[in-house]
Amino acid sequence: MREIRKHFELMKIGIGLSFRRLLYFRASTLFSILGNALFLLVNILFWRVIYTNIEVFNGWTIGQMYLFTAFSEFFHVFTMMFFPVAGKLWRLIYTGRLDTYLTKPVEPYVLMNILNIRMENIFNAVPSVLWIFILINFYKLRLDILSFLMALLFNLLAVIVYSLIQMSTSTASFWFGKITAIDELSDSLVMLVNYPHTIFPLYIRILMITILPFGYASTIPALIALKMGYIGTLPSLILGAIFTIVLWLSIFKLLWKLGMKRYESYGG
Amino acid sequence: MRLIDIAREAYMLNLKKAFANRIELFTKLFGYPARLFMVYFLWLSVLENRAFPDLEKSYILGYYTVSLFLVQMYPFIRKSREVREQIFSGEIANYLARNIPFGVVNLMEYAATISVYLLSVTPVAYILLGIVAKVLPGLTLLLMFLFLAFLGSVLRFAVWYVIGLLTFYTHENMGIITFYLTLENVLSGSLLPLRVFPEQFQKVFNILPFRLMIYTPVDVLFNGTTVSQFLINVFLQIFWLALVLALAAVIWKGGLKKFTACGV
Repeated sequence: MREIRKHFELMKIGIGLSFRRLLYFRASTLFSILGNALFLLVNILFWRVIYTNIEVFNGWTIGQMYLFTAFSEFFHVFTMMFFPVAGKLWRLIYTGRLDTYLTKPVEPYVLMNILNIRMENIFNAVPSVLWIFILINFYKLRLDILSFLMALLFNLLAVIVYSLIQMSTSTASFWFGKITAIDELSDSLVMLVNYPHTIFPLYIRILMITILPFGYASTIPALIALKMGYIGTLPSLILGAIFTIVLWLSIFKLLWKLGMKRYESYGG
Repeated sequence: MRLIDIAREAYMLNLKKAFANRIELFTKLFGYPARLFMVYFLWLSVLENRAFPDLEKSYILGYYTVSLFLVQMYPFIRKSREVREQIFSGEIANYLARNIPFGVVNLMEYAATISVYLLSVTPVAYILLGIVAKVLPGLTLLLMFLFLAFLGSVLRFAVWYVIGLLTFYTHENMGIITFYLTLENVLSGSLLPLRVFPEQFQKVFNILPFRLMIYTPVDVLFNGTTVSQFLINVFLQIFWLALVLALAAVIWKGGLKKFTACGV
């Protein structure tokens, strides 16, 4: 109970800081919202071009694919809100700043993530939310609240696992020191969120909902919201999601523990 | 003379750093096929669905093999963020105090990084081009492509550098990065080959400089070019590069007036 209260207090500080940032970096926040609106527009344009000569692509109509783009955008927004610096954990290790964090009564990676919550990025979701309303009205997509919330839950879960993957790769810094290019590795992986996984052969689709979380990032949320079928039933997907989160949590904890044994304070 | 010495020193130093960093080399080697893998399945599906009946499989797969090779030649976003951090924290005072040209040092860091990238990833790209697209271009065409690709990449670097410099005015550039990145992805042809867009769109693309970064070099490699068209493209690349560098100089000069050694 005390632990929860402690984290809650920290959350309040993190959220407070993020709103102060919002007020200070107003111009950048505005560009960020515009950038996200543009990203959504580009995705729409991309699919519009793909659908020039066809009406259905791998079982998706254009309206359904447009909804998929909104969920893909939600994944990016949630990542920017809750774990914007998960992939930068290596910097704490490499620079030795981890020392400061180790003196505090909270796990360093928890503290780093909480203090860097960027609630201001919630505004980046505005274009996608508006887009969903447009889709409901113009493409006559039928969405119910419960399925939609369930879809968002999967979305959020994928974000958590993705942050665990980023933090796990960051622990490589315990062994290799400066690893600036590690971002490129996670950027390459995040591309898997931008396209529906129905384009993959079955074995890759299974991989994406067991070992990797990217199936839960946009494909499954869109299919759940649209009540379309995918691999397995809803309970099996929930089980798969739990397995993925436990797997990556264990991998991260193990790597962190091993890394801490090597850590020599000055410069990791 | 001093400027050339600084540039040479900076290049050699960054070259050593780039070679020493084995994990960076690995991530580059891994990142490239990982992205290609995604695009491969997407386009295989698009072509199976007959979304573009006129588009050949070898062209589209070859296009992405080469364009992805160019896209991730250098971590442009990271450079823009680094420039931002150096300005925001006041670190550029070190350069000013020692009269070291900040822009030249950054340019040399870029040159050293892409040298290592070209050495490590080019063989992989060439093999993939042969396997995936079954295209092995002739020497003249290859040289034309490399020249256009090089100038296109320098142009990209210059734009991203300018975005970094905007920190003098905005303090934070993440929003601008998101905005510009999306724009560049579409207009440069890294998202879709520009020829699949409707004609009206293509007219707009031709006026803007972005196609010279990715699409033009790649298109030359697959569809060939005349000498006069090649020279026109080179001229346009140099023209736009000069314009962006002039803009960088103006922003730098104006920015320094706002800058205090404690940052901005």
